[in-house]
Amino acid sequence: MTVMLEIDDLRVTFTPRGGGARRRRLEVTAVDGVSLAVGRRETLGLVGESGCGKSTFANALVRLVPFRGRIRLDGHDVTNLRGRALVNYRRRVQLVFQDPYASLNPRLNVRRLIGEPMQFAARAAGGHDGRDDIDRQVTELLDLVGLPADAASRYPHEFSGGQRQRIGLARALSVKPEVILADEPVSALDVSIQAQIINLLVDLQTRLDLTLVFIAHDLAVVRHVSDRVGVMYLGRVVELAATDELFQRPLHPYTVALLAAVPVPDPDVQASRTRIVLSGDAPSPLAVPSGCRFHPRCPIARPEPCGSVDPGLVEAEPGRFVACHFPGELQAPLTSPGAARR
Amino acid sequence: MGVVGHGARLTWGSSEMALLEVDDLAVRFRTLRGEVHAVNGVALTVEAGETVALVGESGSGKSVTALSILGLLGRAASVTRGRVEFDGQSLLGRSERELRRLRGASISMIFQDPMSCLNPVMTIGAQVREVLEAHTDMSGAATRRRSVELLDEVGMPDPAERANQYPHQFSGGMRQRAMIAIAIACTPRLLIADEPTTALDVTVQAQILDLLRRLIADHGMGLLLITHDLGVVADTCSTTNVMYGGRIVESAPTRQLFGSPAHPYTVALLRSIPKLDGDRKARLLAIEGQPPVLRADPVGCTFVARCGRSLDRCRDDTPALVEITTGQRCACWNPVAG
Repeated sequence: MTVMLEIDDLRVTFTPRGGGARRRRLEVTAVDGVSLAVGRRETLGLVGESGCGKSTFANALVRLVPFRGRIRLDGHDVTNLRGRALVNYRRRVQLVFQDPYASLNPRLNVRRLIGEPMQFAARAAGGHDGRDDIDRQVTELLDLVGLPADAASRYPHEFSGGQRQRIGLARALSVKPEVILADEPVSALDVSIQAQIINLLVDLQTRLDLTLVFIAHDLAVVRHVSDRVGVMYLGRVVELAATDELFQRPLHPYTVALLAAVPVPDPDVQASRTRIVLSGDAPSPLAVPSGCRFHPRCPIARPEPCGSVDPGLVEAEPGRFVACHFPGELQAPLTSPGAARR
Repeated sequence: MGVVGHGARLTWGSSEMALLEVDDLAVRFRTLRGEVHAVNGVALTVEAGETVALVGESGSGKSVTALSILGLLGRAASVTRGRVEFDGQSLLGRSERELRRLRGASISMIFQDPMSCLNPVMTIGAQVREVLEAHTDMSGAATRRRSVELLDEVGMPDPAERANQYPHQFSGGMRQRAMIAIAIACTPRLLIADEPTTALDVTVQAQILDLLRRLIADHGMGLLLITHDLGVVADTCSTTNVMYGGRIVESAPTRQLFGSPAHPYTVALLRSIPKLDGDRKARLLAIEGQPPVLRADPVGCTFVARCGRSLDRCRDDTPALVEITTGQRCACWNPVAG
C-alpha cells in the first residue's frame, strides 16, 4: 500500500472566546498529537463522539485552521504551502460537509455551484475552461452522482437533503481531487436516503480511484465503508486497526464501550447483549484528565498507572495501534447474532 | 426515591380502556404553498406500563401525531378528523385551560433538543419547581426538597448544587436529564418522548435509555417513544408502529416486527441500515426515490412510488391497517409473507 496522506503529530489549539480566556492563556487542544497514514485508494474511517476533534482534524487537513505538526501528500510536505501551491493542494484534497443545507450557497444555481470551483481550479492551473466545456462537465458530474441534467439550472432549496448531498459531492469532485474528506456526510439524512449516499460514495471511490477519509459518529456506517478505523477520544486517536479486527475484537475499553452503547436493530440480539454503560460525559478539552485521558470513565482503570501515565498510541499487534495500559482486558460486547443467542 | 403523586393527578374515569387511544387521526397544515396533509388516519394505543415506538423518517408525521395528542399543534394546523382518548376521555376539542391542567401532570412530553426547551434564564431547580407549583399544593420548602429529589432520581450528580445552576452550565446529557426530571415531576401516567436521544452521543444515549427504562418500571408509566432509530426501538419498545407518508403502515410487537416484517417499507427500511455485524462493503439496499410531499389528501398507498411490490390497485385504493397475523397489523395490498 503506498501512502497517500501522511499526518505527523498534528495539533490544533484554540483560545476560547470570552471569560478572560486570552488573558488567562486558556487553551483548548482540540486535536492533541494525531499521527496517521492513509493509503492510496484506502478508506480510513474516523469515529468519535462530539468534541473529540474529528471535524477539527478534517479542517486542519485542508489547512482551514492553523495547526502544528506535518502533513504530507503523496510524499510531498504540504505543511507550509502558500499561494498557488496551496490552492493546488486544496484542489487535490476536497472536503464534503455534514449539513447539505448550510454548505451550499442558496443564491447560486447548481451549474454555478459545481462550475465555479472548476473554473477556479482551471485558472489556478494557468489554463481556462470554455463555457461549453464547463456545461458539459457539469452535466457529466450530475449524471455521475445520480441527478438529472436539468438540475443544473435549479437552486439548492428545490432539492431534498439527499439530493443536496449529491450536489455537495459533485462539487467536491468537480476539481478532480485525489483525496475526499467526508465529514459526517450522511448524518443529516434519513436512513433510507443514507443508504443511497453511502452506496454512491463507495461507487465513486472505486470508479475514480479516490482516497477517502470518512468521519462519522455512527459506528455501523463507518464499519460499512472503511478499510481501517481510527477511534478518537478527546483529541487523540486511542485505537486504530483494520475494520474487522477493531469491530470483532476491540482492544481499547473506550472502543468496547462505544460498541456496546450502540443499540442493535434486532430485539433478540439487543436483549442478550452485555451492557457496559459509561458514567458521565466526556470531560471538557479545557481540563484534560491526567494520565490516560479516558481513565475517569474507564471501567477497568487503576489508580496507577492509568491516573498518572499517559499511554501513547503503540503498536500492540502488527497493524493494531492502541493507547491503553491494559489493552484487551475489557471484554468485547457480543455483536454477532449467533454468539448473542447463546 | 421519594413519595410521588402529591394529589396532583386529575381524576379520570378508570375503565378497561387503554391509557392512550388514537384513532383515525388526521392533521392538516395551512402553508403559503397550500395545505399539507401531514397525518392521514393514524391509529395507535399505549397501555399503562407499556413502551410503544412510533418510528418513521422526517416528514412522516410522527411528531405531529405526538403534538396533536397534547393539543400543542399551533394555529396553522387543524385536526380534521379522528379521536384521541386518554383514559377513556377525549382530548380533542378541550379548552386550553383543561389541557394545561393535564400537561405536565397526567401527560408529559420530552423533546429532542433540551437546550431550546429549557428556559435559559431560570435555574434548573426553579424549572422543576415550576411544574410542582402549577400542579400540586406543595409548600415552597416541599417543592424545593422534591425538586432536588427528582434531580437525584434522574441521575444528576450533586443534585442540590446543580439545582441552582442554569441550563448553559449543563452538558447535553445532563440537560436531557433535567428535562426528564421536569417531565416526571408529577408522576404522569403517560410520557411522550420525541427523539429524546437523537441530539446525544451514543454513550450518553445508553445512559438516558437506561434511565427511561428504569422510570417506566418504577412508576408504571406508559411511554410513547418517537424515533427514527431502529436500534433504539429494538432496545426499548415492546410494540412498534411504523409511519410513512402520514399513515401507520405497520404495527406489531417489536420482536415480531423485526423478525417478520410484512409491509414492503418496513422490510426495505430494515434492510437499508448498515449493521454492526452485517456484510461489509456489500451494497446497502437503499430505498430509491424520495418520500412523498403530502400536498393533497393522498389517494392510494403513499409508498407506492418507491415500492417494489406495488400492484395496480395500490395507486388509487388506500389499504387499511388490518390484522394479518395475531398482533401484527399492516396496511398493504401485497404484504410480504412471513
